[in-house]
Amino acid sequence: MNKSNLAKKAPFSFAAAVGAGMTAIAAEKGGAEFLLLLNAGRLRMRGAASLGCYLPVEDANSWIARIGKTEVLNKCKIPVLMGCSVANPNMSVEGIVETARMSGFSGVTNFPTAVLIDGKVREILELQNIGFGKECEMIKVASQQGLQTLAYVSNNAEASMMVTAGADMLCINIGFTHNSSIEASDLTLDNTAKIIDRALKNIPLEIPTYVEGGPITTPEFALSIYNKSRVQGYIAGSTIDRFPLEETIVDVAKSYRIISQIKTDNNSDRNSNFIYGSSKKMQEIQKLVKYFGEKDDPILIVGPSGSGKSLLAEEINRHAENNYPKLIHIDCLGLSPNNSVEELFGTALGHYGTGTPSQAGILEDADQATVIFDEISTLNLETQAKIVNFVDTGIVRRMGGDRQLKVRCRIIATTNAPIDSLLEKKLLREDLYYRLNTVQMYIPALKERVEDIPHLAKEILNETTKSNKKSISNSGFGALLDYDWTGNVRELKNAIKRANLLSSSNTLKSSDFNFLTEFIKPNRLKEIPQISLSEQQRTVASKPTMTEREWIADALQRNRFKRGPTADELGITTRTLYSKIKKYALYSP
Amino acid sequence: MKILTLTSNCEKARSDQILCPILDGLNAAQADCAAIIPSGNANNLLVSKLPKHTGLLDYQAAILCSDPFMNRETFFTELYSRGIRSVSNWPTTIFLEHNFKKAMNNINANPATEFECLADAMKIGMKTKAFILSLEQGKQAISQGIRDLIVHPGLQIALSEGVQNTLYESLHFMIETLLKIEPALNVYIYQHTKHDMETHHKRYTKNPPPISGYVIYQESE
Repeated sequence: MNKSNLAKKAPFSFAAAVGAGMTAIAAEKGGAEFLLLLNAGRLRMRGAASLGCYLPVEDANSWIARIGKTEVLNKCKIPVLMGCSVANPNMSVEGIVETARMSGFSGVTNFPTAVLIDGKVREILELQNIGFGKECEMIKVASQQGLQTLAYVSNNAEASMMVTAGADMLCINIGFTHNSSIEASDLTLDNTAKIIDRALKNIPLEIPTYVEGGPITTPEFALSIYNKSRVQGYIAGSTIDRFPLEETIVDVAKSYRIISQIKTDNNSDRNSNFIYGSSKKMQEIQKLVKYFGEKDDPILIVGPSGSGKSLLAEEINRHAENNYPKLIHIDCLGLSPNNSVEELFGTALGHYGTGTPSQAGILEDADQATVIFDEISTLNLETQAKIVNFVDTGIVRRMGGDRQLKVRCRIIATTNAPIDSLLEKKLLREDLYYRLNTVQMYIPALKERVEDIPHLAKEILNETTKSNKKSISNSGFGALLDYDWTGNVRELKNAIKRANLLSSSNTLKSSDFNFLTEFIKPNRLKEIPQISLSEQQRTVASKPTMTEREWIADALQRNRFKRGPTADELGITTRTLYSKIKKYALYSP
Repeated sequence: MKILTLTSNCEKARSDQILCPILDGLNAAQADCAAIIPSGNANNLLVSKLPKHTGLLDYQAAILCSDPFMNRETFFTELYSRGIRSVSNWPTTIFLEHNFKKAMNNINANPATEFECLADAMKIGMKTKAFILSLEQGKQAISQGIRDLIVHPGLQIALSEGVQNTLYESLHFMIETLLKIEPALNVYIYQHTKHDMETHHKRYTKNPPPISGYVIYQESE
């Protein structure tokens, strides 16, 4: 579209294609400029797909006339156009227009329309004069009778025919929006804009033009098409009734299902932090921590990755702070595989060759400390043997040295693999296992203790939004409960952080957690509308959706473009982060 | 050689008719498009138009298998109680092509769903005759256990005699192929008019295709 056209363009407008009184009234209240009453809308209200409008499941015209008279026309003040089918050869266009006029409609539109039908069937429809040609006749007759007319078209030839027939408004139908979910069609927004402009070539500018269907599923997409093409408005169908209605019903239904679990959570121990929850298993662990926390016994914590083993170890340490005020956290995976003994116990002067300096080991500083060995089974067996001796004696002797240092410490070890398997595969020395296993605490996977999720989610959110408290709606809890959480508490934590970043609302709803189950199509992400600053400000204020690009860019900025901390915050690997940075060209300024 | 008629007239129903009242007022070409003519509720209309008398209980009916609101078990039970013993898929989606076919496929308005629906009718003791247009559709119907097929020659577009001959040759080849896949099939050829049927029959008197009969469309008077 050229700039001179853009300058003359009318403000963005929208109309709604509905099928029931309730949605008609709501759309009017929401600011729709006019309504189309269509059998497709009625089918949606009955739980079927819009496309069913073509099927012989009702007499489209008498059905819509009846709904108009009984539900819509006496309640809405804005113009209501009747969707008229011309496919029935037994009905003349004069008869159809008369039905619309007598029922009290302001005008007519050709719906269901033949413009979406292709192949030989379309040929037969036209040959039999029950296709687009008859739709043009109907628009002509209605126009002559002073009724408002909006014509659905899909290409330039059809648009020209309808203009000749006297159509007041045109609507380019890009195809039906996907019937069951907000899933874009294969068309991109740019391609859609091109199709629209081709269809409207040489169509007089004074004729208002609209678009419907295809990949347009949100107000942002509609605005983008408005900016990219010559259409001045959007006709919302399933995107204004079915999708939001379904989402709301799902949310409310989930609320009823979840409410009892949330109540249970309200009664749970408010002093516990986000390690625990209301599940029996976690309550047992809490008792063990209280009992053994202050004692000296070694503790072995077993649980799947992300289940919170390290946090539990630190929690145990908090109970023993009087005896062991220091905390040494050793990430065994982070130790050098060939020099882990040296890193733990230190090296004497000349150990690596004549003149090499001595080096202190981590454990030399372990006096009066709780020493946490994270993922202890990843240490090699030689190192494990040294640790057996250390557990027994508390003695640290540098490699290559004679001097012995005795420390008094408490050992906590964690592992994510099942103990049986570690012993069988000889990844964990039996003697070390028996020494560490004085007390064993097993943290189940999150999916085995879903009743903890509401409590954990609240605690995590509270911690995440310290200054600006937020809450999670019942439906939001429902979404969290429905998810599998293979990454356990760590994944939950990341999800809540992400939802918090994506939503500017004070309450996180089910839809704020859609990213858990939705696959975001890259081509859609590329085409997020490029709108002006003032529009952006308005959009941010009204609909705070965030793209993946924005989400990642935000995190990068917060972490000063350091990839490690950014990946950690986002809950993705650095490799994935790198590929996203490359994909969205998010480089440090 | 059996000759069945697809008719909208249910008043004097006979066992050699396939009743489909939604086709009332449609000519043969329009009847092919009935699946995309929203002129009424095809299945409700059938139930309301079925003969009330309880004499012969051996009617055949054509149903809209892609009706999104159909409760198959309830519907077939009702049809059975009203004397229907055989059902066919009409109005049908077998003619849909290209983008519209893809779109309708999204809502399960497609031949596969129609054959699946007929298979459900068989479960309550009904016979089925499936309208098909292509070999692929024939295979789908056979895989659902349907053994009576009505092969449609295609939408009624004016064709030269040469093209018409080629079309029939391929139609016969398709029938032979289907019979090789399932020898127990009964295959009928659909014709838009009685005249078309007679012309076809005469044309292939010496070398007739291996069919059990014809189904012809009978326009309402």
